[in-house]
Amino acid sequence: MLEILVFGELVDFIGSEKVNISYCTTVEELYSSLFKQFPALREKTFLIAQNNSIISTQDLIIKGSEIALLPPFSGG
Amino acid sequence: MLGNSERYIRQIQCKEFGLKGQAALSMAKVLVIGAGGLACSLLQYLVSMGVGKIGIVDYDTVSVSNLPRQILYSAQDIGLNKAEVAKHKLISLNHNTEIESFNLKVSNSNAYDLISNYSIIVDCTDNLESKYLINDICFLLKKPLVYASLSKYEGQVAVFNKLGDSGNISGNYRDLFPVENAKPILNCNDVGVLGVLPGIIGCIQASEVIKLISGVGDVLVNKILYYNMLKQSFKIFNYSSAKCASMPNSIEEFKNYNYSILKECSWDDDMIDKNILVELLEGNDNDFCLVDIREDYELPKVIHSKVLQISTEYLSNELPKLNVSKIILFCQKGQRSKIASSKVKLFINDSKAIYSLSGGVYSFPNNYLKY
Repeated sequence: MLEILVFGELVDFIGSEKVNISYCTTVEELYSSLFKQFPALREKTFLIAQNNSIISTQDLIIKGSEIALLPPFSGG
Repeated sequence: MLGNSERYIRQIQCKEFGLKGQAALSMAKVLVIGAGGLACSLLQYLVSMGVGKIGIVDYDTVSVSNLPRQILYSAQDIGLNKAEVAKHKLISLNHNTEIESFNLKVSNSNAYDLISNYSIIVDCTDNLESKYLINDICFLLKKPLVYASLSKYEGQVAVFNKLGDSGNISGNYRDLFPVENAKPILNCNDVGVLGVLPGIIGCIQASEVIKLISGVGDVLVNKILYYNMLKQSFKIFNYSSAKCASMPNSIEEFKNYNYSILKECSWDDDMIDKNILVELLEGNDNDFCLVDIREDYELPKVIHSKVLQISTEYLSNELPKLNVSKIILFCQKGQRSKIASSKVKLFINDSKAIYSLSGGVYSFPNNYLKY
């Protein structure tokens, strides 16, 4: 399992600030898994961080990592 | 500055900061863009602590709904320009700070001149269009940019374009959110903000400005801070800089760059306004449908027999099935529906006209709204 921390308005779409999903080996798999479980995320912009570092689609997910979904904010 | 030693004695006593830090503050020129909630707390500290020169840019006027979080303003200021009111209030805090106000909206045509005259830029704006624009001109002019932004109970802070010891320049907003990936849908969602949050984030932003000027401590370079007020949690995420392909490469490119892709809302023929809406709601024409593209939890709801709720991801499948020739999409403020209407037109034949409701749900008369 992967523990995923959710930030900003994504919490409203996922329904929680923390969610567990099945382990994925790549960031691409993680995106697919998230979109399948939470279709509204397809319309959202967000970054993925692994152990407090933002990662790109080419990166691999390490077992036991803490994953975070980080959207942009625009309020001021 | 030495004549003011007594005023600043407590901060001069911090040995890492000292007289040197205070002297640096008195020489600093800081431009604050946006004079809303973030700026109201940030400005009070920058002025009180002795920053030499501060510019404040905002074209907006004070409104009653600003008052719970924009604590420089009071009821008597409603209708007045924020930058000018802020200047007036701040002058009385510290006569040693020179304060300039600019009653204008930052744009491609004025940003170069505005920013060139200052050493540090602070982004306190409330929209993505301005944030990208400020980011790009600061990158081109190599000006350090102290960024912050809010969403409901959460805030972000980062420092962009800091010149490193080896002459390298640190990351910027587009390293985090390149415009190619941006979905402006986020900008429209009127999620609200709890009054104290901009005060907290504005103070963190002010501390980054003071640290940048004085050289004391580590600033949020190649890092972005996410703060959650409900949990009182701070999380710092590292990122690396990579050249963003769509970023303007020169001042000329910047001046011609189209930032309106991220604009809140702009009027065109594919939009209808509240007067046309009322005609439809109260007239005899039944050949239309109103589609609420917001999420289930978004309020107020619209109570009318012609309203359907369809999430954006299902529009291209569901809209062709509607047996009407006019479809009006609406969201919270009008931005999401504008983007959605341009997208679904690609899937729908010309027999149906797709419109976006300007101003979103609040364009409906009150008697149709349920909170």
